Amino acid sequence: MRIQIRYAFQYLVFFALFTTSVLAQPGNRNRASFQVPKVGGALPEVSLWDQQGQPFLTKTLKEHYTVLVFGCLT
Amino acid sequence: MEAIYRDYHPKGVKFFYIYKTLAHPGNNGYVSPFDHEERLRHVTEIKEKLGSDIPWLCDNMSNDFKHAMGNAPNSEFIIDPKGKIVRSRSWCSPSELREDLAELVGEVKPETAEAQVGMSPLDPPKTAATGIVPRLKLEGRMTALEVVSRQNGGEPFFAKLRVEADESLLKQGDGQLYLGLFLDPLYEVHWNNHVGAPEVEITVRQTEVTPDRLRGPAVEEPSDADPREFLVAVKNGQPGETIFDITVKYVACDDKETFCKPVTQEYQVKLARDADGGSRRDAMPRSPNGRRARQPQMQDLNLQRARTMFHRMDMNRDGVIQKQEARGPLQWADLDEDGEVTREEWREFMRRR
Repeated sequence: MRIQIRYAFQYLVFFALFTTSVLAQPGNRNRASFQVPKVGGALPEVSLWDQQGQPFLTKTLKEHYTVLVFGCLT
Repeated sequence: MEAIYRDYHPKGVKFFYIYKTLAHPGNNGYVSPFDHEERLRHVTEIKEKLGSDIPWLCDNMSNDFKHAMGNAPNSEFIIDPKGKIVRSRSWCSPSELREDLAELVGEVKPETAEAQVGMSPLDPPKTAATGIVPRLKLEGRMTALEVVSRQNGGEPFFAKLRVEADESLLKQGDGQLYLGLFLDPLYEVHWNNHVGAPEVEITVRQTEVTPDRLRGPAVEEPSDADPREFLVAVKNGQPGETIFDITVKYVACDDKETFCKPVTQEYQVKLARDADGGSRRDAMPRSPNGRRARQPQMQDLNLQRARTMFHRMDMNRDGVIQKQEARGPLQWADLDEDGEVTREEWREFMRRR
């Protein structure tokens, strides 16, 4: 019984520490909203432009292996 | 990347660079685009200057794809023929990408070497003289704020406003607000210092801004392309709520001297962090991994150095440094003494140094 209470207390301490130190940070809330999609998951469907300025749908990226690399001028 | 493209494009693999918001506005003289046409002009500029064969896709102005893919500045993904993500890296790594493609599609021998690709480095755009007006020296961390530009009269935003707040302003509502007017090199314009300096007017409710009317410095040189920067003190702002209405007036003169016209443009700036605003490298000292506001950590430096050195030495890109590839004795890093150094052994060796 005493051991169970000790485990319950440790769990509560861990939960309190975790929630106050990690979830309370605004930066982490931001990161949570921009999660990297999981390997094995489908590529998100988004409408982009191709380099000629024509609409391009990511859902058309099928039938081939495709490499996508994010970048910019700076 | 171009070398890998040359090897794997003929095997049916498609490659795309994804143009996203600028990670470090101001680097190379480039300014964050305000609309998709300007983004597409950046894409054209990159392709022409780099001589890249890899096609580009351009994210939309809401940055939906960047957000959906984790919001990292230089991430890399492989999608399989069913449209599933089969590889994901938060920072692109050509050597690891080559390994992945070898596994998924098959090895290519001989591999195209980087030297065979012969790409030219990205030069800064041509602008009028810079280095004439001293840049503002900022202390502490500055964060880009959400800026909405209001189209006024159909003129392009020849000069673009960037607004940043220090931590105190962003969190408590009292602090310093940075305003930078950056000429966009896409429009090949300059400041004509004989016709008057740019002016900025800030209007805001229930918040003190000092000063609220700003004027660029008088400059003796007839023209230049340096940013015009201002720092104002803000009191009683409401983080996440306060809206600054900002009017900017300037005279835009093109470098070919075909026009010189007065322009008035308006912005609404919210006292809230712009998650896509990037960070200016000139704003403060930065660590080598590009992150701001913290001192370089030895662990980061060593890991980055280890990765670069390994990549340089692994000439045949087989993921192992052999005797003939090493530029010195191998035995210090060859932990299992088999005459070769694997990536893990190299990392461990660098960590111990």
